Amino acid sequence: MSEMFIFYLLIVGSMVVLGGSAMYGIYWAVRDGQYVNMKKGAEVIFGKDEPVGKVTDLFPGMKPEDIKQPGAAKKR
Amino acid sequence: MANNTYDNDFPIPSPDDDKPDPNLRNLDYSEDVNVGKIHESILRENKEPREGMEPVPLWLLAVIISFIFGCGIYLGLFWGGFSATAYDEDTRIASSGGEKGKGGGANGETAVAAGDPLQEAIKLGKRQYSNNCASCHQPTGMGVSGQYPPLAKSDIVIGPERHLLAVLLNGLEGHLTAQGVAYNGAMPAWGGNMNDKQVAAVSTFIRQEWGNSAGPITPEQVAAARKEFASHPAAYKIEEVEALPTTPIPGGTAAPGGEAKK
Amino acid sequence: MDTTAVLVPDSDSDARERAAIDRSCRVPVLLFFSVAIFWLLMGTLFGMIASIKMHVPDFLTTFFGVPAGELSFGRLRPIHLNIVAYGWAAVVGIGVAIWLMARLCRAPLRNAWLVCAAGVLWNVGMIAGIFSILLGYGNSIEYLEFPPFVTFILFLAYALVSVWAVDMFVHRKKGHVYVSQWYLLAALFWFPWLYGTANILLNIQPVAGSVQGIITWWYGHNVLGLWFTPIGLASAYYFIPKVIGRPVYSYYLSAFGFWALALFYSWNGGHHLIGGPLPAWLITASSVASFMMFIPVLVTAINHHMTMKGNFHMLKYSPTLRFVVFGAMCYTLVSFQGSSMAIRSWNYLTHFTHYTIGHAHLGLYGFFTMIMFGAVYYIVPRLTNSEWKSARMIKIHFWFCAYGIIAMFVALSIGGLVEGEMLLNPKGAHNTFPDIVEATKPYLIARSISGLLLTVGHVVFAWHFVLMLVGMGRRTAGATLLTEASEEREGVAI
Repeated sequence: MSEMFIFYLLIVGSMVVLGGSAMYGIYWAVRDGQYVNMKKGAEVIFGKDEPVGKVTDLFPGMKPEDIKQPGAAKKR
Repeated sequence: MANNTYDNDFPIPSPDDDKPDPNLRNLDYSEDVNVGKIHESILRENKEPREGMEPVPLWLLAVIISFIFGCGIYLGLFWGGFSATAYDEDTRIASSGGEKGKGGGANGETAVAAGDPLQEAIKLGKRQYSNNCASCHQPTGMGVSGQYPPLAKSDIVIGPERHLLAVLLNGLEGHLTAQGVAYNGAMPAWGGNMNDKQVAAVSTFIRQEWGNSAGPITPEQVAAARKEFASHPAAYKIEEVEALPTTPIPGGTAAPGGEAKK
Repeated sequence: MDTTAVLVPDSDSDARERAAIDRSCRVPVLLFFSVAIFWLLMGTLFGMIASIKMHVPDFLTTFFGVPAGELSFGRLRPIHLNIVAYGWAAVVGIGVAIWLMARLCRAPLRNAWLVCAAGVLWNVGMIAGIFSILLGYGNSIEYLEFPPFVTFILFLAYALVSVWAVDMFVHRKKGHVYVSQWYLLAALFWFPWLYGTANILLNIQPVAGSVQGIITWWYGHNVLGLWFTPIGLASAYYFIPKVIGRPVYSYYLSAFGFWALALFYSWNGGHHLIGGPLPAWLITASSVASFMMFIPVLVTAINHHMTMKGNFHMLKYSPTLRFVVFGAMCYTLVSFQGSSMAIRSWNYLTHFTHYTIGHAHLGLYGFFTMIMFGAVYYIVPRLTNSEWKSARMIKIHFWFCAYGIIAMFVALSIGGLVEGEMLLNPKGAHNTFPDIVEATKPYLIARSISGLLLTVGHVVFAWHFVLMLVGMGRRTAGATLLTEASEEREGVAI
């Protein structure tokens, strides 16, 4: 039975570790208020220098003025 | 990191919620005692576009629920009794499985249409054969020389019913010679993985395929054979198989026990 | 590089902080990217050779006149697989994860030496592993062909990355943990468990018989679903909103999608074994889980689409967005396809055919690799403080790779279906094994041609990356590309 021991150990161990960590993750998130202000959460990747509304990636050589909004008849 | 969001159900919105936060690093749940200001910001919040917190659309909820429901049905149909030895999802262990099963279903087992029962059995047996047997004995029934004996023109296959059923239900191992070639392998037992109808079908199929011509085997005979071989649960050796009686198994009636040798 | 240019006062501190974070990531991340791109080229080379061998069997059977068993398909194919999975995908994934973790923790990189040491160790293991397979010491277990001593080295290297990640996370700036960080931490946490368990049960204390199949495919599928997918999704959830400047459409849905993925994904492995000598309930459970995966995938697709809505014109202007959106669309497509392949009757047709290979490439290449390309295009300028040199090279890269993977997917899918039909009908008039090979040959040739397209794209990408590394990128500041902090130099583009 000893060769199966490692098998059972891994199964039970995995269930405990993975299941436990998942439950702890949810518990911690709720406790810490991670799911309270979703709007703020979505905006946390922005900042003063790269605020909401600012495009942060362009082809080399392009400038933000070059972006033509769809439907706008703007000439470059 | 500690904040008071768990002390009350609704976090008190700070009046600064909708302005760009100069200090993005901290969650700002500062309370404001000024009730008017609080109400002001609540009222204001309702008018803002609420990105980040769109409610789950109803249709999405419906999709999710219907998926859970559908998957539950699938699970119920094909769970194979949660058994460790049921490899075919439609199997019930070691007993007559007279129903047509879940036919025409997702598992590819064709719903055998009404018609000549013999042809039905051969069709089912053919499918059974390609699922379970062909990987070793080959679709051509020729086996692999030295490894898996051929079924074409095999004495066991076209011989007495007991001989074939003993091998199928309980397995076969040890040295044997078939058509001039020596083998020393182990054929697994299929009695636990196939019900009577399936054993009968595949036996019938192989007994008339590849130039073989021997009579069909019925599920009743299989059931009787199971009872006979119940006292010999281990795999047979070829000598034991050949020592089995050569008389036909009565279809449907249980043979007197005790004929199997160890 | 000093960030002392004249800045808009408001954004000063944020820009400085961001620049400091990027600066701290420079060496480790560029190291990982360089190594990954090297492995990408190697993997592409071996993939091309293996692909050609499938329709020109005599190709490269001798090496300068000497018969070379080392170059047989049976060795080259696992080498290709392991290089693209562990050499390219894992390494670029870790590189992107390092930068994302730093950005999301809003703290400069800590213990860069640790993660660099991990990278070096990882590559030592990779090289040892590749040579082992080449010389015939490989396992026959898919995704785990490296011999046991190599997996031990890789596990050790990986453990260092995990330690680094935990340390970074513990020292983050307190506040909201963005969804990308959830995905990254989950991936970094789950992978050692996967790799360790699989190797214990297959190499160290091998389980018996068909149970090995279960462990193999539990591992193989989870490498895709619990390691590559979260890194890809983390990148998509970060780069799409960041590039277009709009937050994720429904942050709530993204959290839901994360937990649904965590719940359902790990059961899927058995769907590689449908029809095998395994308990029916295991197969059925894996099929059920595969269908249920539909839910997080749908949720993610909705999120990405609604975030992009009204902003699709940005695809013209942003290289990162092109790659990432292409990848995200492929994610949806490949996942829905995968769920369909878990249905027994469909699986009956497609199993053991080229269809499965097409699916695998759509997932690992169409989804993961394309998103990683997008990530590299975003990250590298911020590390080298210069823009990419040539928009044309980026466009060539994108279109060759996009057309290449689409062509490969279509060719292999159709070829696989043809093959499956013929395999199911072995007694049919012209369905002997040689007939099947003949029938699928045109599709295999199409696959090789699509591989050529991919090779071109990769070579252009690698060359472009090298140019950036040696400092030949553009010095003019594209105004929105970099933080204003680096806008101290104006100059003519080279």
